Amino acid sequence: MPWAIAAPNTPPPPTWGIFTPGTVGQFFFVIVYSAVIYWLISRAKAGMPVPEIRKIAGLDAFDEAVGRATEMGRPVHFTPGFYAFSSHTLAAFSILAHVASLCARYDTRLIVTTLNATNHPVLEEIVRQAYLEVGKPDSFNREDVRYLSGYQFAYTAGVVGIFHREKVAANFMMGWFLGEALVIAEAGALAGAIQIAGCPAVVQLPYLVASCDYALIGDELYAASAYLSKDPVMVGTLIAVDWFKMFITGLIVIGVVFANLGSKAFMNFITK
Amino acid sequence: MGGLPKTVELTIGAIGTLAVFSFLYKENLAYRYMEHIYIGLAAAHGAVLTFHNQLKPLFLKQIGAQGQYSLLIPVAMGLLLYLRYGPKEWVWISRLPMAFWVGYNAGYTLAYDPKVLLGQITGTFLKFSAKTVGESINNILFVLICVFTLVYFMFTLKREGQVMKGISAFTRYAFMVALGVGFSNGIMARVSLFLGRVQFLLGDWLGLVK
Repeated sequence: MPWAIAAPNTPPPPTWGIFTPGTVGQFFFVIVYSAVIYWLISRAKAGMPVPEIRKIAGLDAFDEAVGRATEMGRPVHFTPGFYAFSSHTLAAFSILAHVASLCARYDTRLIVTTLNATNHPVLEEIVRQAYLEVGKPDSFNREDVRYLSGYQFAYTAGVVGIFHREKVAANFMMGWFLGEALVIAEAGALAGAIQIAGCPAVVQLPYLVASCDYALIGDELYAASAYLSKDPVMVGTLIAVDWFKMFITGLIVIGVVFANLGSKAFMNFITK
Repeated sequence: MGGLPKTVELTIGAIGTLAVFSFLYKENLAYRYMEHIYIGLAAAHGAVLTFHNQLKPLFLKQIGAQGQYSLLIPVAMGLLLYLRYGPKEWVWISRLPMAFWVGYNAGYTLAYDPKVLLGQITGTFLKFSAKTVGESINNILFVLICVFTLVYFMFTLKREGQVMKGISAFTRYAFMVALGVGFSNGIMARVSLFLGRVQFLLGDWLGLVK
């Protein structure tokens, strides 16, 4: 009779007296991970040798896209995706800095749109800085960094309208996208824009791969931002993430071997 | 609600739907009109919603009635954002709440992501000899694709040598299959949405379909 008397719900005793059970592995993971990132960033900042990041296919297309827009005398559009201040948005910001710098250098109009009000001041600052760095602060037009709407499809309708009215020649979609991804990318294709997307959202990737000329898939978005910015913090972090991917690959291989030997010892060890 | 008001509501909805669909022919005045109405409505709806769901309960209930004055701190931080429209020498202050926000997100990610990650890692500890042949093949493919995908996204490893090229090619094929499945799944969902609008036009509005 399970409904008659419920056993008192006592929490399990803490591991080693201080840790919530199941968090010891996580704690050491975070400590070691943070230490490795710090060490690699310090090395990169000090100009000491760090492993080289290989070039991502599709990065050459950035110059091609902006170059094409310049030749056609039409604007470039950039969107940093759905969310504010997540890892993918921060990667999108770095890529925007590069795209804005290219646009400023070639005197090509850059339209940046966002559906996140908190992104707006940062986007404006990034574009302004890019124009300042190439010595053309007067070419920066504040009106071209636009917060359209906080509502997903109202924003999407706005972007679609911009593509057709402003005759956008190149479209950059970098960051995390949801249902608006295909609508925006299709509108870009209809407008005849050369399109480059970078998105870690597995659900939206198929649409972007199908409708864009180039796509940075998954982690390539982060790698592209580090590669383009050459920022020691980003480069160091990317290398640390790479090393942890190697570490995780090792964990998976060992775990699978243990599982196939019928032992749960390894599983219990890392989930302690 | 029924009768005339309902008919008017349905007709406005139908005109809006048709105006948006007219984009499939080309960008035109009807679409442009609807686009601006949509953005305007969203802004108005957002403002009203923010006032009733956020500002009113915050100031009247939580701060005014319950005396939770600590909530004035995030309010002040939010207001600081507007200093970017103020005098030039004060603009830097607007970056402080932004910095706090970025820091908060970084800390949150660091604290809560490892748990999810560890769950994903242990989820790959699969037996190759499962109950059925199909499940065994499934498990083997799952582990292989998972490991190869991790290797594919290691950006410090050069794609040189037969092994790396082989892993890269295998992973690309796996991606193609996965993306193909995702695409067809998504298209089904979009067709379903389209059918919903067709049902609205032919059924709710015109009454041609029951």
